[in-house]
Amino acid sequence: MVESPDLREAFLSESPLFDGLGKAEIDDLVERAEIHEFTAEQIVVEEGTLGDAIFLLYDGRLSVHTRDEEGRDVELATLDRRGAFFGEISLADSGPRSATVRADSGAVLLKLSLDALNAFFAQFSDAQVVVLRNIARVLAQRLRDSNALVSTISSS
Amino acid sequence: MPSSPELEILSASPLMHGMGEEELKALLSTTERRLYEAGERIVEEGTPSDCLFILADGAVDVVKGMGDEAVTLSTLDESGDFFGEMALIDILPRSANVFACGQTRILAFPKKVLTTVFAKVPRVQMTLVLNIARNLSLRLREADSRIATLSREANTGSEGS
Repeated sequence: MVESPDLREAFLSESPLFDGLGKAEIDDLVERAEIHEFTAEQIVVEEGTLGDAIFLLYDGRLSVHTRDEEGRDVELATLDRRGAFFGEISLADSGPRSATVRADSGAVLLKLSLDALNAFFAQFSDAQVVVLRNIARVLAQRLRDSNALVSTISSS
Repeated sequence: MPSSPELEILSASPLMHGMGEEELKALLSTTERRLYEAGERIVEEGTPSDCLFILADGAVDVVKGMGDEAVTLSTLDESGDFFGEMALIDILPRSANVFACGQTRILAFPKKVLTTVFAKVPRVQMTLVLNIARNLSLRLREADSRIATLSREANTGSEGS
């Protein structure tokens, strides 16, 4: 399944994160990606810890959580679409993880560490601006969604 | 150098973090200087994104929607603050209106002109895109913490009633 390089290649080339990259670049990323499996309730990344990798969901269901000022859990989103990803902020901004991501079911993820990505960018220098622009596009969409939610809650 | 105050504004902008003096000068050579009066609309929600703006002097309100539905998302009032940067990232229309709060001086960078700078100095594009992504990530963190706060207030409100 996900173990097959061909499938991993198809999976990565369909991700909006890697939109605009060529076959040689995708092949290189496939070599650098690690497969990680999680069981239900297991934490994938924890809010406040150092972000050092991007994760792409291959199979399963995850939820994104943060805590309000009084420490109560707030669920920000559910991820269940193949190709959904998170942790991309770590590429642009080396701050701590802004949320906790937990597996709701058994889940299979592809992990690209920052070290792996930096080695990739060293080899394919044109790819960096392409990937960063893709990340900015995704962040902008998320910001639009979050701002829309702020407007909805404020006016309700 | 005649444009030195503007060069200082640029170099202090978070959008220009990591940019060298030659790169800043290349950018400054493309800028259009604009003056807006209080209440004047600089960016119209829903219209095509074709220009990046850096605040030189004054203040602007970023407002989503119009009339009763209008929500002020943020106020920018520091020299070097920027808006309209999504023009460099995607082809979606403007996501909000931007109004001048008082008399406001703006440095405008049309996308078409910037593209020629990027072709000559590729590092300028890389640095801008990285800084835009950083800024988006910061604003996303702020928006998400605002959502968490608002949700809590909404819950407290409903408990009280």
